[in-house]
Amino acid sequence: MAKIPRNFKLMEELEKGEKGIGDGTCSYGLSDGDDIMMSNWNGTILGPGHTVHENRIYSLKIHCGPSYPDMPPSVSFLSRVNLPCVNQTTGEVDPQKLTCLRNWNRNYGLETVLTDLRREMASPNNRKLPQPSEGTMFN
Amino acid sequence: MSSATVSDDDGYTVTSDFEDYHSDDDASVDMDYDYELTEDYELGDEAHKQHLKAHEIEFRVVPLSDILAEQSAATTQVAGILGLSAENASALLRIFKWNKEKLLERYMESPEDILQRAGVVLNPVQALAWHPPNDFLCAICFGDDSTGSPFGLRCGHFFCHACYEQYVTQKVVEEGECRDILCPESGCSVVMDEQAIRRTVKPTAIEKYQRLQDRAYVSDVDSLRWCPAPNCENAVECRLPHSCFTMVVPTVLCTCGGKFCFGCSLDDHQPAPCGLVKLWQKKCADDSETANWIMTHTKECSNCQSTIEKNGGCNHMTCRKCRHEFCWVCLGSWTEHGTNGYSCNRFEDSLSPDVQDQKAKSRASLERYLHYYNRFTNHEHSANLDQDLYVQTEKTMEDMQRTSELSWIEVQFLKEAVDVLTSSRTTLRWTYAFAFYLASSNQTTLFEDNQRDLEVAVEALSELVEKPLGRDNIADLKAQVLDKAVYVRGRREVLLEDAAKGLAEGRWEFLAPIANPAAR
Amino acid sequence: MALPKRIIKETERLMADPAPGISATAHEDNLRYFDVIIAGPTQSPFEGGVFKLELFLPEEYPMSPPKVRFLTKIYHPNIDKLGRICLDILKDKWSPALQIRTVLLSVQALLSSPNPDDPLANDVAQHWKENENAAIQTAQEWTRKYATA
Repeated sequence: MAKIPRNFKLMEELEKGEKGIGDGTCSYGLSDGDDIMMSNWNGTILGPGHTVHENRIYSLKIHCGPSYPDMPPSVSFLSRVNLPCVNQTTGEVDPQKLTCLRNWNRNYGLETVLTDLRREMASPNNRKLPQPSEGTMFN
Repeated sequence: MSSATVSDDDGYTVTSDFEDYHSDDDASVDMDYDYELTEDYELGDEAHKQHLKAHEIEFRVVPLSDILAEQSAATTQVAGILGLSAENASALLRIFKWNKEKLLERYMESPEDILQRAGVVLNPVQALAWHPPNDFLCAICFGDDSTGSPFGLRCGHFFCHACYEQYVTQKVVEEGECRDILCPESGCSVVMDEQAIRRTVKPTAIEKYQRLQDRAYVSDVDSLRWCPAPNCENAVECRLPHSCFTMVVPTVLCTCGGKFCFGCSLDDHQPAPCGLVKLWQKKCADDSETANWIMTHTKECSNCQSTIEKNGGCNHMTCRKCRHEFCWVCLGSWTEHGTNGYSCNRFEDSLSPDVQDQKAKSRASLERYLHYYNRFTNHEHSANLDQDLYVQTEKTMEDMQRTSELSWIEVQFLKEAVDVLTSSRTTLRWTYAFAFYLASSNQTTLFEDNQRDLEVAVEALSELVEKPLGRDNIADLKAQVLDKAVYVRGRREVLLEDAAKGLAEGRWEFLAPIANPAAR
Repeated sequence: MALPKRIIKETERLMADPAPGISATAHEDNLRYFDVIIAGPTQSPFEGGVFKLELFLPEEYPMSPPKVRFLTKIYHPNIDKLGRICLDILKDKWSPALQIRTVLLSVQALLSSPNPDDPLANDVAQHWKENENAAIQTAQEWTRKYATA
């Protein structure tokens, strides 16, 4: 199977994101439309229904380094959220604590990360975790 | 309760009169549209036409087998007249969108042009080049393997058979192409005819090719549309000119039970015309995040603020905690609903005209949008809950059947009621999109009154359906539900009729220009 | 999986007989991925510039077109901010008889004759249509600024 290089893989992801992914509960786009290396991305997750996150909108930043997609991206929440995989001081997602980052493979993408995080919010252990007040941000 | 009207001339003709099992009242609505009919529009027999209401149109469900038969009849006829093979005749018909008259006329003028446009070569000796050049090298795989029997069209561009096969298979199977498959050479415009395609690919791809041709027939012919339901192989024929789809909402019912719009192939969206639906969907896609955001606070009891989860389709909420009765949609007290004071469907424009502040304006416009959007989505949600409820009730009934002499048939009235609820909620949903774009006038008041009457009736029926069923109350409940269902159906008719007449008469004034997406 | 014969032959020919003003080198660890350099054509606003591109041959190549993108910033109505190219042979006019060489020659030709009527970068196309001289001047500036090796 042809091995798709980083830039063309990111371009595919960008084009998919522009068309809109899935049911619209997650979205992502380049943070700088001029960035020819397509390294920095913004993501949003709409909190899953019937959980403490319902109707909240979470912002994230995602960085795809030069070894992406051989190596997973680094992911941080900008909006405050209380989840076991999220560092409560910095908002960084611990790659060891999120399944898709721990078991990363190059067929995964930004969409995988965002939907995995959303699944995490809805998991029985996390769905009722007390949350910081809405709209507050990590510094 | 679909009622198919069998007409004596052409197979079965179904009118969209499908919900109306009591179609005895006001049956004679004058269908005097002032748009022009296409030349080949045949006026159906008057008696049949009299049955149609303003919101109904004439159409015919055509099963796949009939489509194939129609296609082959047209092909045979043209082949006979022009003395061509069936395959060539259909290639010619295709480029004229199966308009026989136009094809014959043009063909008489200049057969050469037409043949070339369709990629048809009459002399089979000319159709293919026979001998590859001596220094043959396939430009696709870079192989010079002459054992692979190179293949080329009359343009003389040769490629090896395996490459040709891969090329055509990809076009047909992956890209779903069945027209305009050109010679693989860059810039060469020689079209591969059916014969060449059959010679290059395997039977499975030929089968796919044939299916694509059949489907293409339906999209070529303006008066045909596929039923969009998954796995349904019927098409629907409607001979109304597409230019009139701003004045009529061409809703059709397939024999598979799917109800859809002939204009845009979306699910039933009466009373809103296609152009308005398109605008509304775009608006909702753009604004939905904001809308989601704002809708947060509608989940608390308006009296004691405890969290309320909506578990039925009915909008009449009673707080478990404080027994406060309120409307889920507007959070107003329920006592004002279902009586004269009911105004949940009407957006109260409370801003004074001299408010100039741009911020306030945009906020007002967002609030106005949310007013309609919330009601639009709520009816969708409620319709789903109504369905769930029915499924539950059906289970209960099965249990009861085992323990008593009640038969399953006796719960059928609930299924019917839920069907009425679902179609009425669909109508109600679209009345909110409709009202969002409607400029305020005396006419709109009438529309909103109809909307309110239907909504009150729907909520009352929904509430009845939610009542727990028992052996003792079933007879009584059945009478009440049936009675209410008839009433709801009547209110829906009244609303659709008025909206459709208004549309045909140009009585509605819209706040945005309504395009005609069906016009091609 | 082994590389198709066609790709191997194309690569060999690109090395042995490169097109004027164009070079394409396959990555050692991915023989379907090429670093490309195109010299700005003479008599064009891009003259004197050296433009880097990348090219990838997907699994379906040559039935599907290669993917090509500029890595050097360029002011051109048919090339967008991310280097994506609007060229018919890279889309619906692709033919399996075309090659890496012909594709890159077409890209080079596109630099000589921008087509503002079929734009990818709308603001640039607008500029090109309204004031061609000024647009050409901007293109020359960008060439000096970003495309000088």
